[in-house]
Amino acid sequence: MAEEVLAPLAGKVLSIAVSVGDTVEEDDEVLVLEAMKMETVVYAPSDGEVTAVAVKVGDQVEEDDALATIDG
Amino acid sequence: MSPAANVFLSGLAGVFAGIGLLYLMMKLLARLGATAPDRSASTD
Amino acid sequence: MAFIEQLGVLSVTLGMVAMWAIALTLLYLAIAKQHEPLLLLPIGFGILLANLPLTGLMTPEEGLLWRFYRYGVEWEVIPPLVFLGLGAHTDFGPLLSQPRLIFLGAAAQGGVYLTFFAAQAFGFSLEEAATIGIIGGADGPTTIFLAAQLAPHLLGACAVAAYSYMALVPIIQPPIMRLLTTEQERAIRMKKARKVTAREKLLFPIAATLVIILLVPASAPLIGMFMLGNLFRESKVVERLAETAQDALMNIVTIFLGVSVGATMSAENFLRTDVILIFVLGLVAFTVSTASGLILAKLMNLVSSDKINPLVGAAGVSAVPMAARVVHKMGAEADKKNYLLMFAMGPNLAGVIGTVIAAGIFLSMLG
Repeated sequence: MAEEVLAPLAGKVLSIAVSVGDTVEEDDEVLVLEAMKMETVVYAPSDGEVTAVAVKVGDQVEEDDALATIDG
Repeated sequence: MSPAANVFLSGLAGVFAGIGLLYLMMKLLARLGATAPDRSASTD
Repeated sequence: MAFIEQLGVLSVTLGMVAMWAIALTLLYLAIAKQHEPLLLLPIGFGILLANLPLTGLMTPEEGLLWRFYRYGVEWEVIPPLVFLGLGAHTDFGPLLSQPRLIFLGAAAQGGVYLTFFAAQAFGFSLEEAATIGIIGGADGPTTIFLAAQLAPHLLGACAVAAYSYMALVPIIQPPIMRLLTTEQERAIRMKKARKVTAREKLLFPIAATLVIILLVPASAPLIGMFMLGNLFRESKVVERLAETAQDALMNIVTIFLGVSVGATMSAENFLRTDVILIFVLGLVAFTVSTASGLILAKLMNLVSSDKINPLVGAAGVSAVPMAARVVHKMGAEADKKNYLLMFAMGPNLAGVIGTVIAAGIFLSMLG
């Protein structure tokens, strides 16, 4: 079933480590957010295949915004 | 009580009293404000 | 030869040279290490200027730096304006979403009062001791505000201690945090905060102004400006004012604040054994403040089922947002999916308010 990767806090997308079609394991790095001049890594919540990436580098995201979808 | 002890105790009590009142005020605000959802996009 | 007598180089004293070294150290920290450069750079240069001979820069009624200090700092203009900018910059959402965390900001004032007590035991007057204690609040403008009222001769030393230790928060706090918490406690993930409404954020600055100033009137200059700035922001109708307060005006007053603080640090004011003691006591203040925030968080966990990660207590030491960042990093070290930043911002902001209240109480009892 598909699980969304949610933003744990508001911030700017600094880099994205995955793209659609990639297979990830739980706790793999998905992307890096910058909030208050600090980098925060967002990890995959579960194993699976990345079916969607909802943001691009430089986007401003709010807490709980969907960042990507993982189908596992 | 020495003046220093007086300032020490009144100060600590005053800070907690002030913060305690703010706490109650925020609890009240949470009730008053609960009707209007935040549509604004916060920054930072 | 009158001209020879006017040569500055002949009037240089050993004390001045020592102060140049201090000035250059601060400039080095600001420029090469980028520790609080916005403040340490103007402070460092102010020290240099104030310790050059025969300049008259600090001559009462005449000198340029004297005027900056007199009308900006002594007249209590600049620190409140800094707070205006901070208010316009601050989102109180993290605090409003977790009201109980505000108590951690009160607990962190424990360092202020304990240090006050220790300082007067070391022979400082009550006014001096209060000024030294407030360093533990980790809030530059509040320290300067209080010092200008109670102990102007210590202003430079206390301000530099406060700003230096704020820059050193990532070094000072982690060992205390590790000592007082277990790995499991640091890994506690906190329950998601509720969303705060725009109306709450709008009402907060008005209500907080009433509550705090009615209780501690002497805190009015700082709290009043802080909350006015915040109302600029949250009202959403005066974005120009909010923007000016937090950018242009803040930058302007920072220049005058830094130079004025540096200018107070003449050799005779600064090269005293007292000053070493002030730096030691300031460090004690930071340490105790960090510890008391942590300890209150742990105490709150004894009675609450909804666990608080005790690390966020350390963010009650205001130093916004450095202390919150430290908390976030340490939480992520214990559990890489633990995101504490926003939880730590609550006590962090509460710490600012707590320090201003503490300063107000000192002023009303000793001023």
